[in-house]
Amino acid sequence: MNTSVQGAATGSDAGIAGPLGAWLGERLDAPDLTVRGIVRHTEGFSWQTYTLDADWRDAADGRRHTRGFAVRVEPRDGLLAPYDIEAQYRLNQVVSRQSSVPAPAPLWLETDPGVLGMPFYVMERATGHVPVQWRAEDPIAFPTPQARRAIGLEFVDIQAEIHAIDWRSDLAFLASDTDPARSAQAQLDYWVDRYERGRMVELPVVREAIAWLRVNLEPSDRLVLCHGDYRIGNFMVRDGRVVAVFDWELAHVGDPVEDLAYAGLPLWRGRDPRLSHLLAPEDFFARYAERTGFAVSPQAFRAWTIFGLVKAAATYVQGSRAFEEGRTGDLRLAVMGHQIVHVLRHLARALDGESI
Amino acid sequence: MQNSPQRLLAGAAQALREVVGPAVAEAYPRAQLAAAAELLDNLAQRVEWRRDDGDEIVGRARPLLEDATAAAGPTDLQRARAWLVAVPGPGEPGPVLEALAEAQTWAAAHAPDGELAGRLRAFARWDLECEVRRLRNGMFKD
Repeated sequence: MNTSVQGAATGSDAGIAGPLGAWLGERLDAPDLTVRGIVRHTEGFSWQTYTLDADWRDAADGRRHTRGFAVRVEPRDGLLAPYDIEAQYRLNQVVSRQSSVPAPAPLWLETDPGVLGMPFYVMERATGHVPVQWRAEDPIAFPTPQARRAIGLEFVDIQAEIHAIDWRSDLAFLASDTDPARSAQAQLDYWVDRYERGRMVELPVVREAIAWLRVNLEPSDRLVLCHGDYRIGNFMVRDGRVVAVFDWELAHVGDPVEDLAYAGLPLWRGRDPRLSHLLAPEDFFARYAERTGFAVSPQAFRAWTIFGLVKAAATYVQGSRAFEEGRTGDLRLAVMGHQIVHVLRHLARALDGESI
Repeated sequence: MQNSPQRLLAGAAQALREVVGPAVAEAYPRAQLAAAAELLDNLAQRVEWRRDDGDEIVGRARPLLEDATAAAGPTDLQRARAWLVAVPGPGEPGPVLEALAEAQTWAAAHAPDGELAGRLRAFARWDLECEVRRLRNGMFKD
């Protein structure tokens, strides 16, 4: 079973049906298990995510079963490489077991690349609709202003729940430092390093932002579990509720304002002032303060917004470099080389103190 | 723009052939697709980034580096000093932007509100606006 799925950005099952069916059959003690309806989801640029249905007959009572699964395959060299699938799996376990955050429950981890070409894990499949940043008006997710507001308030509530998870017991491995000021600098160092390793030319606005952040990044007095990529596009809704939060690969222990500012980056809302097309900033902050007792300082929010844009720029240059070096053939990463201009323009405006 | 035009064009051709092509059933669109891929492959052998863009970057960055090295201590800005000696005339934009990054970091640390820091910020805005003018895509058309 050495079927590789790397580079198959076609939306097809990429040959995984056979080996994955056999592997799932072993886990469920169902040798006759078959998989169908495999869909590769193209929303993400990092992990390869497939959803599928499995059918099998129960060995004990002979009854037929059908169950939906989601499979996350580690990319060979994706946008956010390097990856640590075991840490990712453990994080998903803690979140699903120790909080009411709606994250798909992880079921099995396979670290042997011999099955699908790369390590992977299997989760319960969530069903619903994923609103995306490209569509501010989404009649399925937001049929009315009231529905949008309700989703927005729940979005904030879930973020507050994530921030309330006790990372010190089971997720301490996600902390770079236990001191908030040193932790903030460690996050900055981490993303500056990614920028340095990814860039093929120097980008003067990014360099200016890094120098500014060295002086002005304002840490809070607390450290929380940050999702790291909490925004529209990374959650699913059904019947007016948020039913799943995805894409935890950037989770870390960090500043709560970092996570809040990231959700409000203009990359996820265009000229719409609502954070992630959901809530006006004042409503967002008021709800977060109501849930956590923590008031967001505008200065800290601006600094962490600039940080979030540097993080985005670092991600874009990594994608461009991966394409340049032939480590991926995904053209979506190639176009990041010019799409980064949007990030840089927002960054320049933020540095100049303009509203973005 | 960071990628080489050769890699971008060859990569686009490869995606058309290997990813899009198999999903196109009709003969005429398939022929157009194959022709587009061939055009891209052949362009990849013949194009390079515009040199006038790079020349203007170098021309605007040089006085900034001269003034930065004059303002800094003799042991500071070694990369900028080396570039000024090594490239007396037109040059590639990559090395001068590296030297400029060193000057940006120095200015931010020593005189963030000074005249030189302001000129470095203005250069960064100009460089960005050049890229914005060249940009053709549909993400948030603002």
